Amino acid sequence: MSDDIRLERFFEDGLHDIAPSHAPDRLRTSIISETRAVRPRPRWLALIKEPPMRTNSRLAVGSPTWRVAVIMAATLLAALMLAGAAFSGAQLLAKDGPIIVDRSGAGTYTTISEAVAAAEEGDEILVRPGTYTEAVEIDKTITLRGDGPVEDIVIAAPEDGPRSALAGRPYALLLVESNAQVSALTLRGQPSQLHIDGGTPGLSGMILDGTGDVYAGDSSPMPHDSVYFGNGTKAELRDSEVIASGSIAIHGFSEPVIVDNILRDGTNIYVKAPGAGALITGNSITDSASRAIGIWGPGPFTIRGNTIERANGEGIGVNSASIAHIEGNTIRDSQSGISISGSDPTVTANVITDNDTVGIISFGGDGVIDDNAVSGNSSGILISGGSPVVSGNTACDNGMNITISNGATPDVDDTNDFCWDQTLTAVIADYEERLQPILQADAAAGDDSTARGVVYLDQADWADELAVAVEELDLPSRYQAEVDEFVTAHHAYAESMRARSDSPSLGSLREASFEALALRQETLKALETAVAPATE
Amino acid sequence: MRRAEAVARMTRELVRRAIEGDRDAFSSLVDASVDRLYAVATLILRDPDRAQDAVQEALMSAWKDVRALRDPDAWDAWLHRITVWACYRAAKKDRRRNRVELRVVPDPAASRTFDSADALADRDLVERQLNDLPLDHRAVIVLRFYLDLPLDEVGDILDIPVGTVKSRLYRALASLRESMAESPIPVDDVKDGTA
Repeated sequence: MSDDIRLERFFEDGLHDIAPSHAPDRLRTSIISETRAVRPRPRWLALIKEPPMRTNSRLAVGSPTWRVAVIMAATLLAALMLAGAAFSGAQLLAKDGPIIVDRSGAGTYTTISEAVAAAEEGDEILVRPGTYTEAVEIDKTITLRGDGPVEDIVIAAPEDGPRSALAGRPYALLLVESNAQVSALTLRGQPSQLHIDGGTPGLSGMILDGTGDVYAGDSSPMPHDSVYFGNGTKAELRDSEVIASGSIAIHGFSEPVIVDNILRDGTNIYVKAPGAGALITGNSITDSASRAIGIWGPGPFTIRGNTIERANGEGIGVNSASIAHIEGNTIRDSQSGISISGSDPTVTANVITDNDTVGIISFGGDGVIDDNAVSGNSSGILISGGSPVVSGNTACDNGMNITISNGATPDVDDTNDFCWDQTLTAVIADYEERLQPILQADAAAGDDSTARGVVYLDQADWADELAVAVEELDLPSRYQAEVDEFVTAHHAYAESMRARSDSPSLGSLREASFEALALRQETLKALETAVAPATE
Repeated sequence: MRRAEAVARMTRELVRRAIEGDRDAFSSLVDASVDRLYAVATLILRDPDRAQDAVQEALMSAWKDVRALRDPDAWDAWLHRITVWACYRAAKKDRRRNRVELRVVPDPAASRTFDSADALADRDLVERQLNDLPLDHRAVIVLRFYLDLPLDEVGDILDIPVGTVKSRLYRALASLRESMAESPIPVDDVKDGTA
């Protein structure tokens, strides 16, 4: 009996052993009594509510057409309501003349905190040039704006200043459940400059200066969060510069919008807690100390049109079952491009060039990787496990243009261009490199080896894996016969391994292995010969 | 075979009557399925309390939306789907509350009277390995190996392609195989393969 079948049977028996044989009586009675109290929904409503399900390719439950129509109508209604609410809100924010803050005493107040304390909802505060060393807290809907060159109007976080309940550290500006609009100010502080605790504030034209408090570890720890989005805020940060800082960090259940900013000299964007999401678009991120954009948790995240250069880590890292749409980003000269781990994102139309290691790598995801241009990386697209859709990509001039490994079963269609001649040559080289140690081990092990069964199973998996990789290559039709022969031979090998593995004789296993290895070498040679003219 | 056909015919008739609003017919369907669904939910969630909640939610939802069922023969598959989804929701709710996942350890005293020491060890091994699997892999394993469903039906229930079912099974088994390397299957099972 093979290891796999034995394992499956062991587990099948084990599941039946540990499963409870009866549901508690109270569960049964509770369900039956509750159904007495309610009636089934009308059919039209049930068809809309229940997600469609097919069995044997036939629609068995629900109605896809009805659902789509209702969802579209509901979306339209929500958009109309939102527009109405925004218009009403704008009417409410009408205000009188601004409050002036001037250190020299020429304004209404000499400190920003005094002006904020005196301001009423809807007021505007103008801040004139100068360095204001204070921790400004805003918990109302006002406008706070620099009146002069942004680099000359500085709020500096006092080292011994108050600590926000949100992050537990000093700050230059703290927004608490506020919808304030803040612009044209420089916030300076180490490690932290800006804390946003709930609310939907907007910040634009800012300079956030961490004065060199960058962090070069794999994932920036909390003490180095320069900008801290927390407590469900939906803040927007746009058209600003964030320099020499740790992370723009997105914490619990926040969904900020981070758009058209320049991040440089160490700064990155990092999601720190599950339940958070973000729209991250149009930013330029250069020389991040670790990965440029790192997300984890369900999201949803949209990462679109960002330019990432010289990241000292991944350009974009997607982890832990994130729902993410990664589109139109450019990542170059970084440690690696886009890394997907245990998530099913959509990775579309990104340009990923000249990175040290891999362009796009997917560990066990089932997402969509389409229309990306990947070139000049050590490895182009690497699918390690999982079943993503891989379509319309161009991956050329990488060390290995496409690699499918670790039992991956991607859906790769013929719209990809993997510069097949480069790729096939690399696949064969890699394959033979892996084959040699096994052949050598065979020679060295002799008849006394007891580890053969395990090695054979590994080889069988490996043969299937390689056959899939070759099948997915976009080969011109004139080489199809050779490829078919190659793949057929591998399947025959795998089948023979499985058949022999059931045999009780260790000797027959060894014999099968040698036969199969010889067969593989023959077919590899045949394929190499077939490919050779195309590479000239 | 004749009995299975009779059961299928009766289930079809009960579902048809439940769709027409017959509460007694639905109660009979609950009676016929609640043990199985509770076992599935317990295996997936690894917590009997949460499993009860999930099964209650699933069967209430089945009653409320029974008229969405177009094909009475799909009743069991649909019940399995809404139960698995209720499990997913229960697990997600718990993650939101930052609860630590409970691990159910079999009560040795309860089973010692009829289980041998080896059987106890096997149960414990299966428990531990099931606990270590991610939720979606656990669901595939339970549907495939506990309910003994074919791969295409597992795909229909989870709303994923057969290829994804295979890859999840492959990864789950690979992970189990790895764990087995640390805690091997008892010797009695191994002997017959290589003698």
